[in-house]
Amino acid sequence: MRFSELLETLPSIGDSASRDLADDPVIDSAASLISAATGQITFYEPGSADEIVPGTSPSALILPRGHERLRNSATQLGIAWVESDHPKLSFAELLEILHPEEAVECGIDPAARIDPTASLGADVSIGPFAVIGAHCRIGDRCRIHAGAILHSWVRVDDESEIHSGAVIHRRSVIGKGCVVHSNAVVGSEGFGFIPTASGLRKMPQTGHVVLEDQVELGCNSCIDRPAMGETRIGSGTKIDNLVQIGHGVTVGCHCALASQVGIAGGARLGDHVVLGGKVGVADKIRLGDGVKAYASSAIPGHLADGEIVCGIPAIPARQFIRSAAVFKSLPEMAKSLKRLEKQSPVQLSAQDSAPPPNRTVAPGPEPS
Amino acid sequence: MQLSQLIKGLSEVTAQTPIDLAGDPQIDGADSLERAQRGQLCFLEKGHGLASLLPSSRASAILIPGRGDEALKLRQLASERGMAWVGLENPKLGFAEALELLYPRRTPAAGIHPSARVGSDSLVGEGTHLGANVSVGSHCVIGARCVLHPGVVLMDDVRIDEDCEVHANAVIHPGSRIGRRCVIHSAAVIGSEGFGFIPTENGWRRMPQIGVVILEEGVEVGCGSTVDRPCVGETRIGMGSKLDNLVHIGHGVQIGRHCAIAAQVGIAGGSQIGDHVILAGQVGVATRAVIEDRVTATSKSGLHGRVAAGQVVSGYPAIAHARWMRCVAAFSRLPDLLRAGRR
Repeated sequence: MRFSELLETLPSIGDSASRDLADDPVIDSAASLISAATGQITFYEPGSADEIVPGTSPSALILPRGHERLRNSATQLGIAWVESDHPKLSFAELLEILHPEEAVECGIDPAARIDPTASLGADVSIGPFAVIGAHCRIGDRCRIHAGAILHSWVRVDDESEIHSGAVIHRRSVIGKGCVVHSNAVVGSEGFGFIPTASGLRKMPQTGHVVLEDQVELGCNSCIDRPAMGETRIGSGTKIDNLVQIGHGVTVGCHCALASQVGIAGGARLGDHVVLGGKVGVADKIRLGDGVKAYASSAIPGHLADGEIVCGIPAIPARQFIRSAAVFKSLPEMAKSLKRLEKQSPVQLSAQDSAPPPNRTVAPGPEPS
Repeated sequence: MQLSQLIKGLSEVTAQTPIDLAGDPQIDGADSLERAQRGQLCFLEKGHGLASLLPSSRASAILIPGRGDEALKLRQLASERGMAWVGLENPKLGFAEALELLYPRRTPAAGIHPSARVGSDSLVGEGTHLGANVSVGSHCVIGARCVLHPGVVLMDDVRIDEDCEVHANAVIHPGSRIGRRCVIHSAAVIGSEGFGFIPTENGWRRMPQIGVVILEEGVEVGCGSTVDRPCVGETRIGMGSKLDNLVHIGHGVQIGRHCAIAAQVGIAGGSQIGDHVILAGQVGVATRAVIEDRVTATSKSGLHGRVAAGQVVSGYPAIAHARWMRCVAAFSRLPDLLRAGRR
């Protein structure tokens, strides 16, 4: 496809976007910044580089708006380019054009087991060894891959995709356009036990799980159902691999939870919350809208809208970064303290002169 | 079900139990104090901050602490609201029992689904259910009244005792022994190959893993959790211990009785965990660590070496919880401490 033709297919690039078509090269695939070769297109983001990466020879580029140096550098090398307000978004659009997903044949594999009381929408595809339980309702154009298992009374709305080996428990609701990746588990029994003299006694988990529209759940991630009521994931929220969502948790809309995040039972997350890899959230706490946590943080207590935190237990990120800088010089500090103690008979106590902490530290998260 | 009928099924209720039946309402469901509606039962634990919600609750009946300072006040609040109440030593336990009566567990009918495959010389006990696409290898023994949900795979020589439940797509590797009343949740893996490799000049050489995994009676293993088998000997999880989701138990680990291990905990090979140990979410335990009875580790702590019985530990490397909290408070003030030190 010619570069000019490709541009016409990208909604994020308007007619007025600055461009240099050069010799309007043929583009047949997309590549990364550092590996792009002739016939390929790649993209630069603000801050990714100041000139075309040496040793690469892309035929075309998507550039951030107003980056004179990159524009000139490309033009000099005879590389076609176009500007975008959001180069990464434009790149996502063109990937779908250049590398379309393989069309899956609609239809139901003869080895799939579908209960006669289940209802299937139009153009549904169901792979071999998938199991669809009693009274399930599967919307139009859903794709259920090999070995996925839906227990009874599960509802999957239009255009959702359930990958291989995923297990969806009884009465779970999966909204429109959701993707549940391989071996993920939705609606499993919450980890609720009551300590008694004869051991840990199970609290029955009678609730269910709701994924609103456009939710994505990564491979092997688990969302538990609560004792009563529901565990709910808001629309547009994306969850990475190996994430654990405890029973009765509510996650707002458009949140991003990176790999290995763990959220203990009953926690409530607002909208647009971003949690880095391996972050832990204590049970029953509330995180306001737009809260962000750096990777590996442990969040022990409530956080207001927009707070950015880091550390175990998590403290405001700015404070963490300042303390972490000093942490590196703790051995020297300890040494000089010792020296001072030897010189002076008076016990030094730096703590007494320091101002009180501006934040109380709540106890660490407990098991749910 | 009438409330009077329901409470007959609660183990703690005796002739001496303080009760106000308030007209013996019909109870057909249960929910939390703030959400419960007419016709539903809720509960309140001792010292729980939710007591203030009681006067506005719509629930028809409530289980409350039978003794303690608040007991009388709660009784009064409930009676004023026209709500029936039952005073119990452990209202949460009573609630668990009531949930089972109100929402009985559905057990699939006994029988083997036509698409299930059972290998040669394998025995399937009476009343056991094998769901669609279940695959059972050869020389397996499955006890009575077990439920194997769709897609479960048992490899050869697996033994599962009576009354176990194995959820969809779980995989149990050869030689594993599962005690009575165990629950293996969806997509969990029991008896997978331990992560044992020997560094050589040509890279990592695999150590054969010929050991087995043993789950004693009443063990639960959460969704996506993995229990590895060792090179020789056994990986053992003691009676009544409960593992949450996405837990990893390394090869040769020994876990005692009645432990509670929260989600995403990782226990490295050869560690020994005592009885009644509690590991909170995302805790890590180093190779060959020894964690004695009744240790509690708060979330994300990293344990190594020996942790003495009864300790509560935090941080990495884990130290006494109280000291860790003081260190954490000091960490926030490090820049100020540095400044003070320079003066």
